[in-house]
Amino acid sequence: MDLSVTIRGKTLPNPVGIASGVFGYAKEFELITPLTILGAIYTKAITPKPKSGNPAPRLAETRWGMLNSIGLANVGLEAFKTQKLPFLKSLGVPIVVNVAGGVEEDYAQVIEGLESEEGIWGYEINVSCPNVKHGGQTFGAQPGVLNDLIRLLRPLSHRPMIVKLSPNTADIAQLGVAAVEAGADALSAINTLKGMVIDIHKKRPKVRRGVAGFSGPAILPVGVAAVFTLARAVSVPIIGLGGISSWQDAVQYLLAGASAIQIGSALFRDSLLPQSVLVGIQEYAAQHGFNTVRDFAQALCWEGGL
Amino acid sequence: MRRFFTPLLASTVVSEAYTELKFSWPNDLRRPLPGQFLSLGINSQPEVFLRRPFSLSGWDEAKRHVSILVQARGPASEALCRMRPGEELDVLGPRGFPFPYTHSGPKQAAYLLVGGGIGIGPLLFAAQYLREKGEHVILCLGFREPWMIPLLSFPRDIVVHLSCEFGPLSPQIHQGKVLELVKQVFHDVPIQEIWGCGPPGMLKALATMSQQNQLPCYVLMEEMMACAVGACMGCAVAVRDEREYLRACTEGPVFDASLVDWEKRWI
Repeated sequence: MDLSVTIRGKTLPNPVGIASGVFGYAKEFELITPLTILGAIYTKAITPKPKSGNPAPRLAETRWGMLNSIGLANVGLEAFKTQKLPFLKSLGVPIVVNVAGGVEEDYAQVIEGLESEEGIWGYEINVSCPNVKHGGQTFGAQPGVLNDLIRLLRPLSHRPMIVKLSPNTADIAQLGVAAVEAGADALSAINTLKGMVIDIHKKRPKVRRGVAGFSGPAILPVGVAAVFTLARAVSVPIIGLGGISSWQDAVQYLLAGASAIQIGSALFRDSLLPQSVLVGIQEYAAQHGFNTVRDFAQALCWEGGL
Repeated sequence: MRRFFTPLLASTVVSEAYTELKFSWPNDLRRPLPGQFLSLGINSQPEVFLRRPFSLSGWDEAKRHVSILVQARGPASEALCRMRPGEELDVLGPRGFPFPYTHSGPKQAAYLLVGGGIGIGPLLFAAQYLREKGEHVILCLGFREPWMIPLLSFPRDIVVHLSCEFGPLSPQIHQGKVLELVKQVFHDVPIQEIWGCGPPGMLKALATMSQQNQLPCYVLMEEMMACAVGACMGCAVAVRDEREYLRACTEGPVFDASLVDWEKRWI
């Protein structure tokens, strides 16, 4: 059995990655999550300059999920290179840098600033953050705008470029096609949904910015549907995420057409989840006679049309 | 810090509002300090998505037992209060910077510890700790209603003042806000430092009072958390310097009250 995933000639040793935003720069989880078994680590979104993030409170809990409104708080490109990358590189795990910005040039600046650094496997282009006024989802909401951005970034690197898509759209397939036509090597889906929780005693939203990013087990079917739709619209690998809190959830994504998955906010509850998801996927593959990750998608029994 | 699973040793109802949970502290971890917290996984309740932070409320040096105080007010805390001895706790910790204490020799001036509601937990631990260090401790503990007031036993040399906002009271309990007690203590006794934990409005007022009296004041900010290990940036506390936001789980949960930007804190 070989469950590795190859994108633009580079390999992820197994399909289980940790999503951007929940893992910081990995060092934070060093004592509670086995790091070297991971198939990939997607870093906290990096912007050219440090960002302190959105006003507090930034979190709210829902049934079977949570809202976050972090606002891309991160150390910025220079501090990432000098303070965070050395540890990440030392792990021997593929490091995918999540790239974000307010304008097109921000994305370009982060990629150009990292091209001379060794130990970066690839980039995940974040065009789907719902928590910032400028950039983020504004690049990922219109196929034409997304296409222009990826065309600008594509010549800057030979490393794999994964475009992370938002579910907050009428037609995710159209966006996936636009990204792939512009040169994206893979797609990841989904980023958080837009959500809101109101405190009925204080009569105000629980999160300061009002609308925030909704994640957790509640959104699993939304993510699986997005991956299923994308897998039938494009031919590049798709990395599935959204609501995974067990190996069975991860297998749903693989059957829907994903080549790899990312674990997001469920890691907060169970820091050992990546290991149990990986073992669960391997055992399921063995039981069903799957030798590669593509065998999952081909095994889906479904005769309907889209 | 690490994650460990340990059986609950004792669950004690200390008032109609609060339950104390006690369990063993792993031998490989250093003794925790007042102000530090644990993040508990509520594994019996799958719809409770996030772990919950709890300040440590006590430490038994001889037995290496720790305790936390829980107020049942939602599915997570209710599940914890229902737990019976022998059932397993999923613990991550200890986390966070404790209340800053440097022994500076015997002093007459007291440490004034101010707790509101469930915020009394870390101050009970702090009182115990400061007494071990030979400091003079005054505890002011405030509650909303009489049925919340816990049965507490203290060494006789810890001065305890209680307040309660509503309901019939004994003559020993001040009717009103805990800050009124604090004002009285300021007037009566020399104080060297204030430590506080409770609702944000109380902490903000405490910060103002300490500033007016030119006393150092440290507050434990009980923010909502997701990861509890410094990764997610969710538990942000606005501060007055160029850092703008600090993480309650990592740079806190104890903050110098004069550093906190209270105008930006939603009360």
